[in-house]
Amino acid sequence: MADRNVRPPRVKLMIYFDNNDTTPLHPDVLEVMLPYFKDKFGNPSSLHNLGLEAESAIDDARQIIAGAIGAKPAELIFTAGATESNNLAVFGAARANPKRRHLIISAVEHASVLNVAKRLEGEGYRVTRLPVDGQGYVSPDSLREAIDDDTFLISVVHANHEIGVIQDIRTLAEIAHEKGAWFHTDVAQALGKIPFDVDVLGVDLVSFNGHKLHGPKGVGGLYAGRKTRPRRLMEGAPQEFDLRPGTENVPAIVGFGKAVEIAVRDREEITPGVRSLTERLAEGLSGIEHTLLNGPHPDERLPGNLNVTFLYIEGEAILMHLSNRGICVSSGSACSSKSLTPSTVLTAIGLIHEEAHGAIRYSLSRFNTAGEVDEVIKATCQVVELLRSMTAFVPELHSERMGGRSFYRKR
Amino acid sequence: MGFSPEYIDHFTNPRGVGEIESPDAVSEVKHKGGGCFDKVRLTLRIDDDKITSARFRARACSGTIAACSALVEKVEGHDLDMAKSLTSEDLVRHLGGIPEKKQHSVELAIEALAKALETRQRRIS
Amino acid sequence: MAIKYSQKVIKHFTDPQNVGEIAEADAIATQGSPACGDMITFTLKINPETRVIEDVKFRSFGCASNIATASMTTLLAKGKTIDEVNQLKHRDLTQALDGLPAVKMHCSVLAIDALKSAVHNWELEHGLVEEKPMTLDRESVEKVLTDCLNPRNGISLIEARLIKKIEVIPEDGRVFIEVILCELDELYAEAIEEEISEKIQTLPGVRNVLVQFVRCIHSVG
Repeated sequence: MADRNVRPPRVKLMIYFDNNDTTPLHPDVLEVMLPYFKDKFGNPSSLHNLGLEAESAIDDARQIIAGAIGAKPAELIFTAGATESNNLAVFGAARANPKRRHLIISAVEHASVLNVAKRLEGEGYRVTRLPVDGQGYVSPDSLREAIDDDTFLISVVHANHEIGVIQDIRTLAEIAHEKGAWFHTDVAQALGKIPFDVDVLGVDLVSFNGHKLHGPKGVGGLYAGRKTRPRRLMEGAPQEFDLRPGTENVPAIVGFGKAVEIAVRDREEITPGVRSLTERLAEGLSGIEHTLLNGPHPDERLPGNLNVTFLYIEGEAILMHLSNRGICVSSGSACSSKSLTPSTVLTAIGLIHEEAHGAIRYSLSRFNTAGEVDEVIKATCQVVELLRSMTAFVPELHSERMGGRSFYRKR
Repeated sequence: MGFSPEYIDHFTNPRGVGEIESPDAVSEVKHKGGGCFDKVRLTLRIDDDKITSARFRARACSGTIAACSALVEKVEGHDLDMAKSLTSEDLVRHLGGIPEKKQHSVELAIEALAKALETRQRRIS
Repeated sequence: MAIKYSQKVIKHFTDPQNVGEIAEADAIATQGSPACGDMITFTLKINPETRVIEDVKFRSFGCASNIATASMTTLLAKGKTIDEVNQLKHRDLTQALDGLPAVKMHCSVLAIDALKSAVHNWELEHGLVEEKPMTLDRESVEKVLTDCLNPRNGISLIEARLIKKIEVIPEDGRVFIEVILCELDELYAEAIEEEISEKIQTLPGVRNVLVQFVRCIHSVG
């Protein structure tokens, strides 16, 4: 049975509800990595026994991960993370299809895809950003309208990191192929949480990483179908099927393989529990007044993800108060972002600044418990009450849009 | 692409995932060769020569997960004779057809069932 | 990037001083807005003879810096005369808090502005100053821009000579600003544009603000 009793080492009194940001290592993952930091320190490109041992280790990881996503080992390359994979996929696809100059992405992509698109735009490419509805869904019709014979790639994230919206990748990929365009999807958040198979979904390029599913940071993967190989971006020795040079991060890759193996193996058993905890959290938070759920209903969205706006108070302040109580979450407010602008995802689903400023993302994993959920609900109630008692944001004076809306908005 | 709605359903919502404690029949099978690392563990509860419960745990590709899910649906609630006569074609039909390269998946599921029933036979005799 | 706050800021955030509202206040002012995510309302009790600020309370909407700066401002204001308050600079506030991260410096600007604004309202009511009508011209635009800080280093854009061009067409209510943007500051482009726009829109008769960035070839320190 999937061992629910196994737990990663934990800082005392910390409740970690920020798993969409990064996750603790599964203990089994750490264990398989250690030898490759110690005696098995070989470089996979070396021809002696130590090198062969390392090469065999990454080959095993490659087999497992490829199998888990329905790919052949030769179609999977290792990178330093999903950001690099996204860069390689989008830039690489552009360079591989020089005659086409139109890129389509969704408005709720990860920063790496958004910024690669911006860069290509600067180089004279045409970029279409597909809008999303109030829950974050991309409409296949909008893609049909936007796509043309000049489109080389469509990139739509499988499950969004902020609001957990899961796109209909299968349909979107079909539309892409009708016009001879490639289809890329970032599954970093989705892998190991919802079923994924490259053939079933019909995708050409897929990015993902280790640290969102209890694996190590600093390692990621890119699946590239045989007929849809990107051009490499870096130059060097011919590692990773000549697509990504550089000595491989052996310990991280080994850990990555184990993490994917565990996640996919345990997914069906673990997920109902994670979903029910998330719903418990949603129920508890919906009891706080002037609160809105951002994104789809908990049943439909990425298991474990919840994004809630607490009106009339600000996200960084909420986050810091919760952090003082040992609870880790993140926020979509402008003040808590690096660029000082509110989250593009929240803006894309139609939140006005005032609503985005009060947004908090809770993200649970298999290691969280019902006791923690209840603790977090209680703490959130206290923090919200405290900040509301001192707020200068008086709704009647400042906005008519606030209030009178229910927690679970309809689609 | 050639995936039937039933196949997609069994992959995205597989039935019978899990493990039966103190099973009456159990097997662990691995796919040999072809660069596919599928591994399946099947456990059964049998009462009065009927398979009352079937569960599987798999580290496997979509085809094998779908095949095992179909297997659970086919055998649960049926007697041993019916289970023994189950074929790959039966599973393929239940899945509304499968792509050729996933043929190994239904064969692996049938193999898991056969091996499990074998262990039970040996225990009784 | 984790934000490193000083102990004083953390203290004023977790245990803010003088939160609330003074009933029948002598002076009140609000600066900032919910859309900005940064807003403070001060209410003051001012002794009309001594012109000393006897009591001050605040309400705010904003991040940890917002709350901490508002709280510390009440401590700085209490017991001071309105003349002394008018001399306060946002750097005094930042210093009192043992410093603020560069990206949060604008919070101290807002807090001091709000306090001075309350005092100004009181002075107007008591006939101590006359309402100087703000006009839409180059001088007033420069004035409101002095408080626009570069989030990367907390230095005023005007002081850092990053405002390359200011064009004002008062009849049409149009303002055009050209800002030098180095690669290091590209991350903040949107935030800088928003702040400039907001500050200029506080001037009368403004209908259209256009902010344009000029990329500079080498980075400024």
